[in-house]
Amino acid sequence: MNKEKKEFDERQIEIRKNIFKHGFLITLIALLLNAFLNDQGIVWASVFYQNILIFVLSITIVSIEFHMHDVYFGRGISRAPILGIMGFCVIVLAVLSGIHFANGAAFVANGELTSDGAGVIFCVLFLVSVTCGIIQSLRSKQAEKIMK
Amino acid sequence: MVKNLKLKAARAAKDMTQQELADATGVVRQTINAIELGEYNPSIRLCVAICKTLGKTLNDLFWEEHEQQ
Repeated sequence: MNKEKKEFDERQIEIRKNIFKHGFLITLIALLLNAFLNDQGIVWASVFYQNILIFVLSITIVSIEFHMHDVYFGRGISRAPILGIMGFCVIVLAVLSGIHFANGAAFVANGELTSDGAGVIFCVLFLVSVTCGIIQSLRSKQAEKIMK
Repeated sequence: MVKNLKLKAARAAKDMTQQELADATGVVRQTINAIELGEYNPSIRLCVAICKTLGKTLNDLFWEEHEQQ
């Protein structure tokens, strides 16, 4: 019973399916573009960070779409703790990046993105996703107040 | 998209909020809002659940007279 309570409803499932299709397409296009760039001799980061960044970028775009369509959270799931944890991750990433850069780390080295640079990009992508979640959460609360 | 004013009126007549109707029918509030705004066509299963909750028939809430003509 409790499990059923936390599922997504039929409208949410329908919208999520379409968003997952967008995410798959975006990942595919980004991977093809990256392969093309590598083939042309343009290496913007190590292979590990290239793939991770493409993956995280796709996840971020998908989560932004989820937030905008209000399908990120299912029934009976409280938004605040999840957004709080995500926000905490952003703060940790920002602090770690800040410490690394204060110790002289570089964003780019030899024309390639460094691991510290990738960390900053992760942090920005997380921040965008969390911000969208918070904005949507506030909008939803405001709408509930108006409906009452 | 045509707004479902019959649903909104029936809900208001029962003195229920969108959230209360959503909880009773097992969906999120945004889904009830989307149905009322005519932005989402619910499944027959959800229509029946809404009708049962509001004590109405499918004809009362989801039948549009102008479509018959």
